[in-house]
Amino acid sequence: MVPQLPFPKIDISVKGLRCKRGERTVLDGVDLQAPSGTFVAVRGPNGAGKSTFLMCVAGLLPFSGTVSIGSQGWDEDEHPINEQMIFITHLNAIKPELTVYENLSFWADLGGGARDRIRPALEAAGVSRLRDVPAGAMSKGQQRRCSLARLLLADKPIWLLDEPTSALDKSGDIWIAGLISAQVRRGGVVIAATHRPIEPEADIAMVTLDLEAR
Amino acid sequence: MQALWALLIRDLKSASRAGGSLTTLIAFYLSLGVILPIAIGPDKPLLASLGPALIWTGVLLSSLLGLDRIFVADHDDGSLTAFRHTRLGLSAISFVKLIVHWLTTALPLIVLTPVMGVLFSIDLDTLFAVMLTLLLGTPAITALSLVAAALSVSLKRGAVIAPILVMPLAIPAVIFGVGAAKPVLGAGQAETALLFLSAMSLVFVAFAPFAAALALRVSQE
Amino acid sequence: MTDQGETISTNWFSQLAHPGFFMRWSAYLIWPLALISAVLFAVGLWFALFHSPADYQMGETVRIMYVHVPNAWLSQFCYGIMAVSAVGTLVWRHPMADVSMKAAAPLGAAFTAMALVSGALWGRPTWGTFWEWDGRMTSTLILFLIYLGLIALWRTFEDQLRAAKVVAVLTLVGAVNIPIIKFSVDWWNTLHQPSTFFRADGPKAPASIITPLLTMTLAFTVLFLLLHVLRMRTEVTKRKADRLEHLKIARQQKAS
Repeated sequence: MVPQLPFPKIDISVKGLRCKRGERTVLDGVDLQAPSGTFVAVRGPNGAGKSTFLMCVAGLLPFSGTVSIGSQGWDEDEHPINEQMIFITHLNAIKPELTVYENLSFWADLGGGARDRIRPALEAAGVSRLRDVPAGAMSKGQQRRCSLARLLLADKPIWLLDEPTSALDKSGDIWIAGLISAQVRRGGVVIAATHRPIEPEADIAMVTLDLEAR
Repeated sequence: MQALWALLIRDLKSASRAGGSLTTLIAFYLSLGVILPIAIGPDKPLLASLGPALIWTGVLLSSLLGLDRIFVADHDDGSLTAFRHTRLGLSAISFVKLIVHWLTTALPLIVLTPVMGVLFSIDLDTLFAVMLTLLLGTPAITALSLVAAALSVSLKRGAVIAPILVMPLAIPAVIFGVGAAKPVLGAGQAETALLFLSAMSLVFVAFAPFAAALALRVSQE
Repeated sequence: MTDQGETISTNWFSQLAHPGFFMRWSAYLIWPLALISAVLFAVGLWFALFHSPADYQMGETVRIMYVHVPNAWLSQFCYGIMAVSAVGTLVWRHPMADVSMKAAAPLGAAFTAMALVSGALWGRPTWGTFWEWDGRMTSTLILFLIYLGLIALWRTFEDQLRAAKVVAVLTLVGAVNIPIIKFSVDWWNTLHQPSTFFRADGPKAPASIITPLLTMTLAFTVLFLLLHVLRMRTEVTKRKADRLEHLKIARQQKAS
């Protein structure tokens, strides 16, 4: 494996976050403190705004309130896309007609990491056998693993995960929990929106953000 | 630059493997080449004089066929969101999409145009003129298609609405294209039309990626 | 201008344009606008029908011009309003700019349609045909298609705020294209038929034609402003009603 150096300190803080999507106010006054080395579990029923919260932190939506990441803070409006983070949405961003390897090397070339990490990443995800299989031929769970392998290519301190465990089996859950634990131990921050609780290792600092249905 | 190249290669690979769309395009274009002469009648001089106009109309209509493909797949599988955390801006991505769409739609149509030339029985000089105007003019149409595709990316009925948005805006390209291919007032007119056509393509290709990026950003909010 | 002056003026503007405040001040506009428009129409029509000369070539049908020209002007004026509103939507993200744009689009389409129909009715006795591929008529027809595209795009969206931004982008793309279209159509027109028809930049028209023409143009413009304000008020009210409806549904769901 690639040596896992600790990340420089990077804290996330969110104050009074308010976000409208179209005509609907989805988030109204959300606060979060997540210092370096924390796992944040965002929970709440459908429509509570879990994905919207992640998109605000990812800088993809205009919002009011403050989101600050590291020493950079933004008010009132969109913040520039932060190079420190990777955002895996509930969609896999995998092209079914390309092979697993082609998909991942594409994301590596786009700035998500080096190509020599692809092999270990696929091994860790448990899909290395399927390297040259078209991604569309894999099962939903295998596709999800392939998409999550992008986390290992990128080596970014902040992970934003939207329903990472969807379509995964029990061993997949355990794999994700291990990934998150390792990332947090290196001083990274992981913010994950989940239905099914993720159980990281016991010594991991964990914050729960409960969002209410509106 | 390397990232742009990677995107170009990925999209071309993906287009070549997905299959079907190229066949559809060719079939549609050739069907027009059969239906129009049948509707007009087998009057060769008439067909030959209408030829350039019919070919331009055929290319415009056929190129609208796969318009929704430009962004929809990347929107639906989450790639568009993932792009936002890479080094590439949305305008650079849109520019690559423009090139890919031109290569996979306009270029095959231009390559097929000699067949249309035979069906419309136009002479060789006119055929070359038509192909030259298509080469210079289709980038403008592709640029407009790019913007329309970006505007309708989040819509379920995007494939229906986008062509309607492109057609009125593409009229100048048709005017100058046919005007250069079939000069009624002599060579001077053809030259003027070619210049206008190239200028339009250059300007549209330069601005369309920014308009498309704006539309993509806005439709994700 | 000092910085302070600018902040005051933007505050003043944003206050005027706040939806609630807009509803209050615009209510005072309706009757005056309706009255002015009615008086202008009465005066303009009287001049147009009884106090302007019949054309020595076109005869009495020249009077169609007093309807055709104002509508043709409004078809472009309305697009101008939409383009300015589109900038307001994209740059200042102002909700009233969306409302103005949405209210203007069908009006623009309607006035453009009237310009086309009056042009066709005028063309029949003058040119001997309802439709002539004349430069102005062709450009106006293309403008009508652009209006239809804008309206269709707007109606495809469910979420009105998202629609506004997307339509604003298209409106601006159209605004850039309209001069190109006009230029290309004029060029095309000179190829196929050297124009010998009526031209506005022909010999100087006498005051007996100019007076009714200007009065009618003003009358139609005031009518447009009145309809625009009315439609904007309807849209604001409709959005308020939609919001209340959503709240009601949400409350019922919570209770059950």
